[in-house]
Amino acid sequence: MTRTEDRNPIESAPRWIVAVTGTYLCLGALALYVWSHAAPAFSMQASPGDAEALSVIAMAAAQTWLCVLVLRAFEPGAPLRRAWLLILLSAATHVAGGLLSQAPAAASLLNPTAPLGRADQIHWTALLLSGPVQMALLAAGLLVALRILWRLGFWVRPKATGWAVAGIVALFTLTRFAATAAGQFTAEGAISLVRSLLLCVLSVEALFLWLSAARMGKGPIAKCWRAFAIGIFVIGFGEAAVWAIGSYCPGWLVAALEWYVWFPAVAVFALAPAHTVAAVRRATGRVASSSSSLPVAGFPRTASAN
Amino acid sequence: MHPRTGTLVSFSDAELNPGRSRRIARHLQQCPNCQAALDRISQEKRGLAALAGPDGPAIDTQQGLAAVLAGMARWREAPAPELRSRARAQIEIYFGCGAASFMESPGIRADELMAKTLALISTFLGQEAAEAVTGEILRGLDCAALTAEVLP
Repeated sequence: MTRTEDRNPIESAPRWIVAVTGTYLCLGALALYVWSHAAPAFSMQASPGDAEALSVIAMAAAQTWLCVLVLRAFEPGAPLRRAWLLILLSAATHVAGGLLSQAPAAASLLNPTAPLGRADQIHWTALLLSGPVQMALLAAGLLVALRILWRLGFWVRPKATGWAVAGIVALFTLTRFAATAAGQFTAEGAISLVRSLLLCVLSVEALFLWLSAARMGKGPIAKCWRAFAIGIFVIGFGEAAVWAIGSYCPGWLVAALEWYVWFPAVAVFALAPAHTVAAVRRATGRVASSSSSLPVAGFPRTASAN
Repeated sequence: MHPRTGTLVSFSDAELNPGRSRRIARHLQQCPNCQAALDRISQEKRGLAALAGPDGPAIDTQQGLAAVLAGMARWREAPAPELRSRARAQIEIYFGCGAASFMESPGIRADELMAKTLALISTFLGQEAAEAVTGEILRGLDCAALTAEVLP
């Protein structure tokens, strides 16, 4: 049952995602170091604001593609198909939102959206798509997956530590809610609040996903669902950190932090379908590769005898 | 004197020496019970062989799988250790040791473990992967020994 090293490129997708993320973070840290020492700090303020980094969009596009590959493995009516469809839609809305957020950012006549003069609408649509809509779809998909996991017996009751983490997230959401309600209520603030509430729901789901995956072990399917949990934890941690230090630190640092939170988070989300695709390829591809190498004791002879 | 099940399996595989084979054949002509047992052995082997032939799983694996699982349901008391260990190995590959331990509750039968394994693989990786894993579990399994072990 041993496997040779003739890996299908798709089976190596998790390794590629980890390698790209590691390289991106190392290069980013190096660039940040060089900029902060070699140039005035305000040069970092040329961040695109609410626009998603192209690298994040590219990784979300990779996640979308991998989700499509996963979806193909399931026949219509399969229990987990609906979960993967919702996760695919979540990734696709992230890509769409990210691309739309880039469109009004380019103040050029070459930009096809410029003559329309609808930069505001595009901006809000992008914020909604890559924020609440994406998170709501992800939460719905993970809920379907969790119900299936529980139905199959992978239900684990959280311990005190787990509830403490969920409590901290809930407390953070309430604090943000109170802070926003006390100040001037803007549309951007409302979207941010909805995001926080959804993040709260996602964090609880992530807690259960983590426990269920931990019960499974360290196989690729367990890694897949654990990756979703890690991605949500990274986003939660990043949002909390950005919000907490936003008032005390310069804007360029917050912008940089947002960049370094979102890319790993999206990369981890892309890792989830990558693990499942690798497992599917491993299962289905092994039949062809192993039929000539595995010993066949009994079957050919009995088949011919009958 | 009726031949034992193992002898019938060997007879169906043409593994007996010519003299003994002739004696068994003569006995089968006179004994409907042994003839029925031989038919049952042949039927079971055809089901398994169709599912795990040398060229991978059969085309219509879903029906083949149903047939094998139905056959295994009759083997309730059979230990079938090889089948059990293979099913466990597949769970460990795709889920991890935790899932394997969790599924292998005390007293679980080999056919139940096999059915649970395939249900899990089918749920999380799709039907095609489940069919491939079925082939992987059954490929190379000593059909004759398993049949001899489980048949009364």
